[in-house]
Amino acid sequence: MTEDTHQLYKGSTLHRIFAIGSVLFLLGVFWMVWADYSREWKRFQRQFDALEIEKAEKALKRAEGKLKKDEIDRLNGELAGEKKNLKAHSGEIRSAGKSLDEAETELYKLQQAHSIAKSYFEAVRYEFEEAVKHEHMTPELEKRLKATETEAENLRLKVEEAESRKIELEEQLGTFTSRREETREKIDELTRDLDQIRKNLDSLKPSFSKAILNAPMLDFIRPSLKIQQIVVDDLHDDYHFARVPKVDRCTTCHLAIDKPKGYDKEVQPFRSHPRMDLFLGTASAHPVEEFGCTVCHGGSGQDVTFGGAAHTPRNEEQEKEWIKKYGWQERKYWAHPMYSLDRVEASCVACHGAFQEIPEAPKLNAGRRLYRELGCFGCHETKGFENLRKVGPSLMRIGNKTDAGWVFKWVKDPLSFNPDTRMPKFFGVNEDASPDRENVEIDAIRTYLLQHSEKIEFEKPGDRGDVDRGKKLVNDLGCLGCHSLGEKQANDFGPNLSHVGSKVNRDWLVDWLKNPKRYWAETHMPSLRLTHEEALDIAEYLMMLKNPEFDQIAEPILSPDLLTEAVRYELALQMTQKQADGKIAVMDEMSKKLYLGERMINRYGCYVCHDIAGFENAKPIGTSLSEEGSKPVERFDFGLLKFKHSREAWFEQKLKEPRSFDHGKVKRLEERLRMPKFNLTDEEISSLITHLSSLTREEISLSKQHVLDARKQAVEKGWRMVRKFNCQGCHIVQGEGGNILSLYEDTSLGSPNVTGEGKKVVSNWLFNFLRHPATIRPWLKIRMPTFGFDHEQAATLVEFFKALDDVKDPFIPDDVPLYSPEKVAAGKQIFEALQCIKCHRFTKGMVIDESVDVSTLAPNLMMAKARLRHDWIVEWLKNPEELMPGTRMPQFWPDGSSPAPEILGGNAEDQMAAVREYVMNFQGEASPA
Amino acid sequence: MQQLKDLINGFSSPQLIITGASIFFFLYLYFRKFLTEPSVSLFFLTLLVGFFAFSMTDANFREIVLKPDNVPIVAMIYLIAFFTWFSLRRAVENDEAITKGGSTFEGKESDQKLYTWPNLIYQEFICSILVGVVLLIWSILLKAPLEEPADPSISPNPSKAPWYFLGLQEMLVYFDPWLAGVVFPTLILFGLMAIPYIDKNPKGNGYFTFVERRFAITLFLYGWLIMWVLLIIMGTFLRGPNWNFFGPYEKWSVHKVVPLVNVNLSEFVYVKWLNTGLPKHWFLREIFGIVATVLYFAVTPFILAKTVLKRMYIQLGIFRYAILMILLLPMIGLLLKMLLRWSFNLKYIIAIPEYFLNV
Repeated sequence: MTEDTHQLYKGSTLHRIFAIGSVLFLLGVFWMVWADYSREWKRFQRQFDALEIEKAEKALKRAEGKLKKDEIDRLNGELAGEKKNLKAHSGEIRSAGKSLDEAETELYKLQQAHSIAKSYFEAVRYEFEEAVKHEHMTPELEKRLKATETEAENLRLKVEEAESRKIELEEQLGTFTSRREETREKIDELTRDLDQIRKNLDSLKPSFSKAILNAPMLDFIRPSLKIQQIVVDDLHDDYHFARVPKVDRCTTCHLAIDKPKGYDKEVQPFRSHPRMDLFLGTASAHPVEEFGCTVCHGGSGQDVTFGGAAHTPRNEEQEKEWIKKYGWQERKYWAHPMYSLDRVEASCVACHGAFQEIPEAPKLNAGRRLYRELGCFGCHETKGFENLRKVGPSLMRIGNKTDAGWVFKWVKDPLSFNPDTRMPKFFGVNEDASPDRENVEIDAIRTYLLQHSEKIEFEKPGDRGDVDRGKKLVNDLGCLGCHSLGEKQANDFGPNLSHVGSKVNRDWLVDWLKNPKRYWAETHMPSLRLTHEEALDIAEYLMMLKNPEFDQIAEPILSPDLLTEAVRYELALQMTQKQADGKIAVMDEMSKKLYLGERMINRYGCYVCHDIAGFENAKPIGTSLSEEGSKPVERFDFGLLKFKHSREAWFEQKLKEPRSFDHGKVKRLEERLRMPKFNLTDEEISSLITHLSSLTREEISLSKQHVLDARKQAVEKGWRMVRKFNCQGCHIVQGEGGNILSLYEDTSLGSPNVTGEGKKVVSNWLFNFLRHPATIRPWLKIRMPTFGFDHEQAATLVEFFKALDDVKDPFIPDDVPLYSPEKVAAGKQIFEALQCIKCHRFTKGMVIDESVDVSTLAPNLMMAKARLRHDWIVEWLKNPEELMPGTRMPQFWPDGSSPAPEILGGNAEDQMAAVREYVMNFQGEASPA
Repeated sequence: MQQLKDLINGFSSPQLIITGASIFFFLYLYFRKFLTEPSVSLFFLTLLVGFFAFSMTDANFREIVLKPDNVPIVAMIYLIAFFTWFSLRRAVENDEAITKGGSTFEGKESDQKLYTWPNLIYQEFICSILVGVVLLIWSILLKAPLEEPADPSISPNPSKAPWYFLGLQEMLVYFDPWLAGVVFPTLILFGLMAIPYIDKNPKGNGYFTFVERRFAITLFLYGWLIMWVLLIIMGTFLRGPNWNFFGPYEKWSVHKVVPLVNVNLSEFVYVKWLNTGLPKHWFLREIFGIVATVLYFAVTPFILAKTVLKRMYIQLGIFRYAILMILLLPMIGLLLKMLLRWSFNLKYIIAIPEYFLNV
């Protein structure tokens, strides 16, 4: 060997390297095992075990405290006595036991013999049947079949006999021991809970076998710590090339999520779900085995690390806490990180999109409502928001309504006129935009609108109205059911009327009040059936409401050079500079303004919210938002702004400062961002973000979607109408709304509660009433407006009320109730005895004079036949308060007792039915109070 | 500090890096005796480690170098540097020994005989353990770099080829896909296979030498180190979104815009020099490019055979020489095209979009 000629061949060096290498390798293996053993979820499961033991020990203590020791002692005493008693009969018991043993042995033998005989029989039967099939039956085979069958049958009878003998003997023995068994059972009953807890605790407590099964390296065999998962076959994770059934492993760490109680105050991840009534529970609408977790919460269900599951912190504070606690890092490469808690409602839409307002999702609903009300869908095409009316008023006839100065100032800064307008701010939003250029643009837009306005002829009102009367009418008629005015702000459905006098033209206003649809056919403003005088009075009052600050704002003086320059710039975008110059040379100032106005209306997209002449077929100007919630973060342009690059942060910035992404960028005018600035509160922004996050491309299989049945569809269609026409501005529908009632001291003088209307009124009457309202309660000053519903709309509302109350038979035949003179007479008697007439004026063409206290009045019963469902009347008489909380109608038949025992034998049911018949068959006999 | 980074960023461009590296390459080979001295090499090593240590303080550099995908490429830099140095050092020592009439290191070594068992097996076993340790710890520390599920509607930016193809992807900057993606790889593959048949010279078999194989070694090392490894390193660390070139400390911004100023040869000739419009017919338009290309491939071999490579031509014979030229000319052509692009913003020598043929 020539070991020494080269260093590396030296045995000793090699040995050393080998030794070091081996030690390193061993350490590496240890490290690997440790890394697996100390995985995050295993740590959580160990913690949870400890927590459960702690809870079980506490429960044990509590159970021990509750234990009825005396009772148990007494029973134990009894037991001992019984034992003694048994000892006295020990001989008999022993012999009975012995015969039972014998009987059991006999039974066992017979059972064996029977089953063998039976299997012989079955084998022979097969042979027999085969022989039949192949037609080579032999008499011998037939004999064999008979023989085996008889043997099996005989044995079966013997088994039965032995069984009954055994039962007999057991009963015999039981007569001796039954008392003992009973006492034992009683004791067990008392200690059952405790035993259960003990058993539970034993299974939780660490044991040697558990330690071995969970030991590092051995924990692959059958560990008690293991990954938990829920597989949902009909929900999918979309991996683009494959749709994979959802596998949610969230419960690996969230171990107490479905525990019904005792874990609602634990720290995460061991807290139970806060809404078990709605989610997770088997009785809830979303059992966890059928829905999993991530379909609502988002995140990566298959991951079992905190960061890998794509948890999203609610705010920076939580983010910091998570970084410290879990080493949280934002998970890249996962399109749908978990929704933070205040966004989680966004996921409801995927299945419940059929609803305009989704139950239990207030924030999402608020966002969706805002999105609708602000008209976001106008610029941004959005799935589920198609075919909606433009949100702003039509400007086709704007010239009749207001004047040029107002339009200029309004377009420039709508908030300066009306601080709660929905019209956003288009100008003065860009930090580096030139105010002069903007003024020229506004002027051009204004000129375009007014020049293209169609003129309408007004009937000249001539005389003036009375301000005080007008003010009273505005307060009384129900204008405030949609509009705010000054301090009276129950509703903001229509525009705020506080300063309307600075805005509109008096002649226009009178005309508009009388018939809003004449000016704008699509308006939601209903007709209140005003007389000419009433309209004059209201107009007189409203015209007084001025905004002096706004009126004082002066229009800037604009230089014609700026206009020419702007027109030149715009023209040059469409043609060569030379052509543009040529064109300008032949344009007068008006045509320049009109040209620029058209260009600007096009650029800012004014026509997406307002009808504007010349823009009837213009296309939306914004990006489609139908899948905005799935848009990858890298597709958002964050510009040069420095903030967290996340979808939600971008939405927030966009809604707060829509054009801020242009900050510092070098852009031409037409390249700049155009989204206007909406006047939104932080809360509104947050709800809009929730809504935007809900616009995903997630596809849920039909089996999991909330598909509406016919009844629910009718209800949903109705709700859409109710919201569209702001019914809840006045009425309480299904216990909600009735905003205007907050302005009444005595709410019985306000608009009626229409909850339960479906049960109450006849379909046909309701249909006609909705189309042509008639006075029901003449003492009410508030008026049901005429909305001008077409047949379909009125029918939708009727169906809505019927479906809400689940009325199965919406149509009532005319011939019910049958006329029975005796009953009617009895009804009349009761009617008079109870002095119903005191409140219910039972007359045709009734007039209320000033002296009557109107708050004591009740509906005219002349209408009852046409209006009320006969089955409702009895329900109503039984308990008016239940059907209409707050009603003045007294309960005359409390709990089936009668106020007039002498009539109809005092039977409450019969009496109420009689009253009903009287009212329904009333022929017009006047009986005033 | 920032100024130094800005300076390095400023000097980061493919032309400067490739030119600089080429110069360094030739200088290194020329002054190999001094530059492969252990002390000098230690200095280079210190320089390299120092560069990394300094650069790791920069967030942008760190982000790119520490990506689990890129860590092996960092290791590759050290490994290739080491083996290149090692072979050259041995070559220098052997060359000296040969001129003195002694025997080479490997020659001496092969005189000593050892048994495979246990000597070789033992060493191999140790190696496997050490490699095992490295892989084990590596896999614990750096998780598998999985990204999001592939989405046909979103391509990652930059879209990078696997690291071993980044050299080819870099060529795509200068050539159309059919050349950079089909012709060049084919030539490389067949060229590497052809080497033993072209080069029958037995010198250098089993021992390191440089002097005895100047041309072959220089040519191979240039192709390997500059035209392959360097391109991989550049592709990994310096090519960012939209395949734009970024300095080592520059933030990889998707929005970076680089002026597009490249012009075809035909436009040089007709528009810039002759000041006439481009001819309508493609053949007339591209005639200069076609002539230049044909001349390059048809005439250069003859000139070379008569001048610089006269001896080689005689040694190899016409057949082998021809194959060598088929392989060598595209390789040099690649470099020439790069040079032309860098110096004159030349886009294509021949551009016939009518037939999707651009060279």
